[in-house]
Amino acid sequence: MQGKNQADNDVTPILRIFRQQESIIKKYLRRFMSNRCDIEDICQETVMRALEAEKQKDIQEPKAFLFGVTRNLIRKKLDKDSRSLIDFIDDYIPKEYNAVSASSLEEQWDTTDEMELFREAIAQLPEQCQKVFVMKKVYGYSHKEISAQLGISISTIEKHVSNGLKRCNDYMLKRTQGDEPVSQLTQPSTLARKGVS
Amino acid sequence: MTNRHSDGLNMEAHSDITAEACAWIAQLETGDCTRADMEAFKEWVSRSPRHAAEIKRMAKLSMSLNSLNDLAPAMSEAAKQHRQVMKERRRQPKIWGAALAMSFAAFAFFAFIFMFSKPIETQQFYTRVGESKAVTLDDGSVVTLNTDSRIEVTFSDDNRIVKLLKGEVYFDVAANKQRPFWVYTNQDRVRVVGTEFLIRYLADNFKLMVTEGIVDVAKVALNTAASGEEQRVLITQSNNDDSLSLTAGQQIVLPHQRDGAQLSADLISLVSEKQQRQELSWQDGFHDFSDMALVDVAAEVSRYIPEQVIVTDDAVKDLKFSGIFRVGEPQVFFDALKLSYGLKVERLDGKTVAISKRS
Repeated sequence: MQGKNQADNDVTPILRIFRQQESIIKKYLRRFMSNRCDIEDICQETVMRALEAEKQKDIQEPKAFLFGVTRNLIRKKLDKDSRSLIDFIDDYIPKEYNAVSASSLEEQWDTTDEMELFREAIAQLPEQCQKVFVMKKVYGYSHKEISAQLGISISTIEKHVSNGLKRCNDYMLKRTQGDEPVSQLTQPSTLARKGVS
Repeated sequence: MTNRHSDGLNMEAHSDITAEACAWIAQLETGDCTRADMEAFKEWVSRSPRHAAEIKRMAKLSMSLNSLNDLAPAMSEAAKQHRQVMKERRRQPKIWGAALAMSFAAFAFFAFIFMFSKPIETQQFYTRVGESKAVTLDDGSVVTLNTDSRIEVTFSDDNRIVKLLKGEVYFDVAANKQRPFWVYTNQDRVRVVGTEFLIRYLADNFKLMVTEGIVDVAKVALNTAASGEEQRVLITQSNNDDSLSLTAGQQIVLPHQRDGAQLSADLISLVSEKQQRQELSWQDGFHDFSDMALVDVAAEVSRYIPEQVIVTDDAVKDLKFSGIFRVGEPQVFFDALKLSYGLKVERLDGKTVAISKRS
């Protein structure tokens, strides 16, 4: 790590804070992933990016900044995992099926309202299923962490994830293809309003 | 549903494929699959192009849902604020104790429910002195507010709550057993299943008169009925308390100074159809009194006008008065008192009208 080789008087505020917080950041990361290499990688990536940013401007709240960077990286990793899952699945699909295009999401619902649609879809999930889904999708928790927090088995979580995905799919298809009008109770502004109240 | 999903017979089968695809995604996402699992997966995707298309579609959906992650900061913030509110509420340990003991995730979850459930909006309706107004609520129920009344309506998916802040309201409730209709005053709680009834909540007493169906009434502690949220807690907390059921043609009057007193069936009285019509005559814009003590008539008339009508002479307080006249036209009432009853009616000041025996 580049910081370790520098003389102490070269230690920048970010680096100092990072050294203080490193174990907390790792502990935080363990909620989201169990693979130790992944945790190390993100931890390293966090400090590299933060140091890079520090060169360009003064960072007012180094601690908050570090955690912000970590969060972004977690999100990136979630997306990467999902994309690699898609690639992985592609490898298993017989060649002759590849001509059949998977109906893409964009064809099915208007992505401008996507967040609102997701919000509604999750709102209608049964309680425990919703809990699992929120922890997984909103907070990005690992199955292991969810299991520890909710005291349910990994296989139960899997069941909830599967069921939740199915219900979300059904809900969104119904909402975007059915004839029923958009509920007037769920204007897009709702979320922001509730968020600050 | 319209498109490709609806080619007839296969509808059912297709739904099964979707469910199976979801199960596979959930399993693959754990990253914990054996060689045998993967063999099984390979077999599954190869079953038909549809299987392949569906698993890809669900994988994409699962990825799109990652965007919900953007909500995390807002929700953590909401959870934090919720924790603060909770701290202030520690004095209600029975209700919230379990919640207080919960971990961060549970708080975050609460915030989620809070943000993700349908927004619950509270509406207020009121009438001025002398006014009356019928309001159709979102569920189809009609509430008619008599003079100088105020209600607060909070509808959610599970409950319909009306808080009667003051005055008199006639409820014609649309039946919906899945969504009970509750009416609160400061100290009394009324639960309804599709029925018609009148509640009057004035300075000195609470009165409930049922004209159709069944209505339950229960007492709630005064200090806990202050806000909508606390009321909702009460509903879940005290479903098994001692409440009374009233049926059509019954009424109950509870003076406010009965704290601690239990509701008892002795307090229920019968109301004839004629009495019911008279009680509700304000809806047609009339006062309809028959053989009512003058002091009560005066108090009743006062509710509809800016002035206070009082009986200053003990000798005529219990005089039985009968008559029908328009709401908001007290002069007719005063004239009747003078001409038919031989009483004296005088304005003491801008706010008071005194009735006494002619000397």
